[in-house]
Amino acid sequence: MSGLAWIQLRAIAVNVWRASARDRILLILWATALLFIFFSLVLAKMVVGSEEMALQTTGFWIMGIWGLISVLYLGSNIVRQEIYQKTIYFVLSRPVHRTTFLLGKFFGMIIVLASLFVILALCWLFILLSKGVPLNAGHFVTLAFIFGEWVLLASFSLFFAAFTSPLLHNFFLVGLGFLGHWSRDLYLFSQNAHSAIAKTLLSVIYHVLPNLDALNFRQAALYNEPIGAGLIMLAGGVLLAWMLTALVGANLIFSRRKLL
Amino acid sequence: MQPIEIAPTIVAKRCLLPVVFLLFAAAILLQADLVSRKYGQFVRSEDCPWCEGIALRDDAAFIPVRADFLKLLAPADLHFLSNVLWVRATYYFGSHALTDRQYPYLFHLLDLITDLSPLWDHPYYFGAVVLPFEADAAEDGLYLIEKGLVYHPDNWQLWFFKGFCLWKSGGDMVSAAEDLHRASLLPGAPVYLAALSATFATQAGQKELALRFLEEARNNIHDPMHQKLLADKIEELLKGE
Repeated sequence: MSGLAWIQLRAIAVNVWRASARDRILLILWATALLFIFFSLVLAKMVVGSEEMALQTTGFWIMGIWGLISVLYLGSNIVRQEIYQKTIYFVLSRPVHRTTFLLGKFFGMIIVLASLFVILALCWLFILLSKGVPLNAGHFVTLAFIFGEWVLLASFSLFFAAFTSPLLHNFFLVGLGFLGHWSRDLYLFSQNAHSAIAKTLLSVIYHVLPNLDALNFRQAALYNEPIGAGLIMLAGGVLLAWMLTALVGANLIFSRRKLL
Repeated sequence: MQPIEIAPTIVAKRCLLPVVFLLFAAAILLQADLVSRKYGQFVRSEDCPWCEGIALRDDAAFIPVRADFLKLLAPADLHFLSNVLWVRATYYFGSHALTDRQYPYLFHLLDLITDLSPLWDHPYYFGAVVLPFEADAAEDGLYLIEKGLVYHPDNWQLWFFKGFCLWKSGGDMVSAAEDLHRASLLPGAPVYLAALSATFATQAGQKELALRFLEEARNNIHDPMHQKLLADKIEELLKGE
């Protein structure tokens, strides 16, 4: 990628960040996430005998769910709005490649998501430390993979946004998020299905969807279970592979799309 | 023309503020009325301050649901779901402990919690104590302990609870002695468990078994004071013969 393309990419990404920083709905979303993080202190008091566990599980839940909601909100309009408001023509009529435009949007989303994640994670870690919850390496691995899941969802969001309406984009993304975590159950169903068609269909769905549950290390953090370096590397590789697949797919569709 | 256009705006602005306050007050009053009509007068019970209305209404929420269905709600956060259910289970236990002392759904709740978060040991302890001795459901208690032992085979507390439950509910002294002995050999177990298992075995007429338990326990510990205690117990048993 040439120097000019980097400058263009940076400009588009920063623009996404600026637009998000002005978006009141997004700010409200962030505020509710923070509120829920602090609400975990109240919930923990109600979980008789396991205050430490409740603080941790609530934090993981909030970060998981709010990530999906943020990606849904950010991604559903990221391309559509540009086309609808015709602002995309101002950008693409200049010597800006469509790949640069798409990557700029993607990195812009990552910056926005990273800002939210850092705020949430720091507040959560502060609460854990102030309550004397012992932290282990699993906590940081889990946090890293929760953010990895956000990035993965963002890349798929861009992929869906490249060819569908915001409503369908949201359906697909929620489906991907939930089915990704039900992968193990899908596999079990496929193994126990009596009909050959159902068995094949479920097996295909199981294999073609990203297995988000395999990237979930929450249990290891909660029970201080060791996570091998090899496993972390492999999970990182899986994450990267899915992310690149979605981005390249999005680029392929978007570069062939008729915008006029 | 200009003053004529501005004047109604100012009037409207001045009028709007009291209207908003009036509407707000009306909303609060109407809501209070609705709440009192829908839920009736709240009467705080001295016996159970946290109970509201008839307990049966609360229990209607406990429609048997399998953990597989609950997983659909938050597939990545099963531990969080188990925490939320735990709050419900402890509230359920507390409200019934203060009123009718009947707990028909407690086992179901604990089973769900341990299905969602099988490595969490706390619900097993709770079920091991409450189900056999408070809810009069020894079999359910034993089931939960057995389930806990699948995930925590080296947990001395669960072996202890199993032995205690077998002795207290079924009077099976030999099995109870075996479980207590197994608990006594696990890390962190108090020394009295070895002596207790031997006492159970002796009372069941199994003095050989009691001696074997004590010998094994003595070999397992390294504290001279504790070893002496067990040696005294062995001597006491032998003298008894």
